[in-house]
Amino acid sequence: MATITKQTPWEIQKSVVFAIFVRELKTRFGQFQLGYLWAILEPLSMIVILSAVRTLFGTSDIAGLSFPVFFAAGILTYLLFNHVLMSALSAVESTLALFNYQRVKPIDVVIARALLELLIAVGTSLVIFPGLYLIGFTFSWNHTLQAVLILTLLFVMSLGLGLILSVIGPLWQETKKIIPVVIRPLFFISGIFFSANMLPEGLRGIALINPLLNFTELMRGAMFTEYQSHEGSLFYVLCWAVGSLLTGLCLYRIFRVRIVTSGSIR
Amino acid sequence: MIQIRQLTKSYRVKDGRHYVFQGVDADFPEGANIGIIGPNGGGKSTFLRILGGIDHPDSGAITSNKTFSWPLGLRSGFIGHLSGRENCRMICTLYGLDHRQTRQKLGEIKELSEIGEYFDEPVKYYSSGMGGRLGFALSMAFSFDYFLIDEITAVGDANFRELAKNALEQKAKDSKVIMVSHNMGDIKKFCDVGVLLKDGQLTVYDDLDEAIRAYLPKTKQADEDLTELLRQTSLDDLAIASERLPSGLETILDEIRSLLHSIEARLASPAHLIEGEEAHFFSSLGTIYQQLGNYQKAEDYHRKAVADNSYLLGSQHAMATLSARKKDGKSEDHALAGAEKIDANHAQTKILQARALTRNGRLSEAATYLENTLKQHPKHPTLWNEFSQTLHLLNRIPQAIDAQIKAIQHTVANSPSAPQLAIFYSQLSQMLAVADDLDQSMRAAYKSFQIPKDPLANRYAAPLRGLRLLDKKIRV
Repeated sequence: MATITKQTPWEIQKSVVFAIFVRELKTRFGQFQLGYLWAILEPLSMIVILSAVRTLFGTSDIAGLSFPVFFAAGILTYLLFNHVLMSALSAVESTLALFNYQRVKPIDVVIARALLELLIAVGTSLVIFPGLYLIGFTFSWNHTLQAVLILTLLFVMSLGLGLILSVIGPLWQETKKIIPVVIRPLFFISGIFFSANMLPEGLRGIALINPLLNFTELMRGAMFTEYQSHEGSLFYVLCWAVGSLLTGLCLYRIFRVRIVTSGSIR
Repeated sequence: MIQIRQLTKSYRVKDGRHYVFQGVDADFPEGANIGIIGPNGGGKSTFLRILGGIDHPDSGAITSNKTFSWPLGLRSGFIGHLSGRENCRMICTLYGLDHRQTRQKLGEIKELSEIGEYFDEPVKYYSSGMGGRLGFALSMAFSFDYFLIDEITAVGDANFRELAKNALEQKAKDSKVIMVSHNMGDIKKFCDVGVLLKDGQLTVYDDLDEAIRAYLPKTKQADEDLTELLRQTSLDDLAIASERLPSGLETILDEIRSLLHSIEARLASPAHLIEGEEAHFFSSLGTIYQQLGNYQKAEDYHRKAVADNSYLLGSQHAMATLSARKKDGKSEDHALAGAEKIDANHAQTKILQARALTRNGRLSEAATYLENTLKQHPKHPTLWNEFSQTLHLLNRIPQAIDAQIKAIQHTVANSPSAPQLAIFYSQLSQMLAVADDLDQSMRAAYKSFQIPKDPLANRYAAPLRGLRLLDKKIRV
């Protein structure tokens, strides 16, 4: 007879996040044979399309990087951010059944989903960059620890913003329509196919208000020695990461009861 | 020890707030199985959800040093597109079991739930009974001080109830149940102490029977009527019914019983009704009781309906039929006169009048009367059937056969598989036999057997449908 061994809150949360993580993993990749391939196909297709368009204007490097590598770094950064936010937006309603168990809280679902997105982002990067290198788009690797730090900050900011969305999503139904409209333009202004130093002086300052542009700049700089644009501010993204996480946690703390009970659970 | 202090819980409704609990204080006795009873909307499930920690009171609290299972409901708590096995594996992980423990538990869960191969099918394909059983079996894999059970015993067959009871008894040393059920039999079987949730208040009764008595004073009669009804149901009917539906006849009767309880309870407090609506509700209830075979209750309700609103044709007809059944000629005449006043040309009124004539021995008058009525309603199957039956009694067999064939033709034209066709064909078969046309008689009998006769559908489906409709109407 297995009793539930008394678990500390930390252990409980670990069990729950792990269980949901495995569930999400299976839902994402279990149903289709091509699941894992699909995770790579999405960024890959975007890289191919951008690269194809780019070749129309010549094949010169962008800010010191060969252009597929340049695009890949931007796209993977953007996709991680985008996926974490989108998965958080539907976190509560797609997991209503699990809130039947006292220990499952909405925040666990947001964390588990964000972790899965992080895993996918790292996994696809580990395939795409060596792949690009092998087919001749070479680069020299810069600084692993710095890249990990930037990735962590990006993850923390996405998680924080995701938490905010997971709280206001169930409370305010319009969120689900508005957020994708807000996020989509970020694709065009976050330095996916340009670098900050390509922008005219006056515009650059305004564009750099966007934390995601700072992240793409910093990420490329941390990853590749060749990158010539160093406009991103580490302090600025640190503020964003800490600020969004704190805001997210506070909002969650205030509304944690209401988001579950106001949902369509009954 | 479970202590409830100043518990208040409300929901926003259209005009203001509906209080499920308001400042409730109570202590639950230690070491007892607790049965929660009360009318629908009395807050039973909400209470269970608060105990399970998945719903939150507006103010006040329930404090306890015990562990509670999640509320075991019919299909809640599973993710539809995952299989039963995957769901159970996930929830074992959720509760901190490691891989090895989980694998062992999965075997036990599959066995106890008795869902067999369905264990590896997506949960969305489960019947509510299977969902309930899987949820129960899953919870049994863990040890909680209290298992919170929300109506799941209603869906199991008798066999599963026994299994559930045994599984719970094995755990009885260290585990108890808190259960919600409409079925007093289940409550008595599993619980020692009763809790009545009603009108925002919670009352603990150390004697379970006392709790049930406090809950059921008004509806006791209805309960007994239905028990009587159960006794009338032949064993064959029961067997067929429980084979046809996975949840079985008992569930249907349970639902009929609980709907009747809640509807009658609400009818008792007129605040729930819109003025002028009572009569219609009484009339519907009367019809439902009539279909259930409780003629006394049916008559009571129809009489009330007619007293409120004498323009209810259905109730007037029913009163006439029911009075005729009791051989109460005076009431019958009265009802018929009432019906005539509403719609003198209505076919059913005419049929009832012809029947009254027949009963008084004025057979040929009845036949002429029906014949004249048929000129107005030439395509009315029931009228043709009635005409045929009257002719049969008059021994005018060939005409009776012709009329019966008309009745069948017109029924088939409307709906080729109407259940009354079986009766029409078997009557035709009898008449043909009397006319010595044995070959045709056999054919008619064979046709009669071909029409699906579902005793369950005949006996309970219509009243159940009616009750559900009424329940919905009365809620709005």
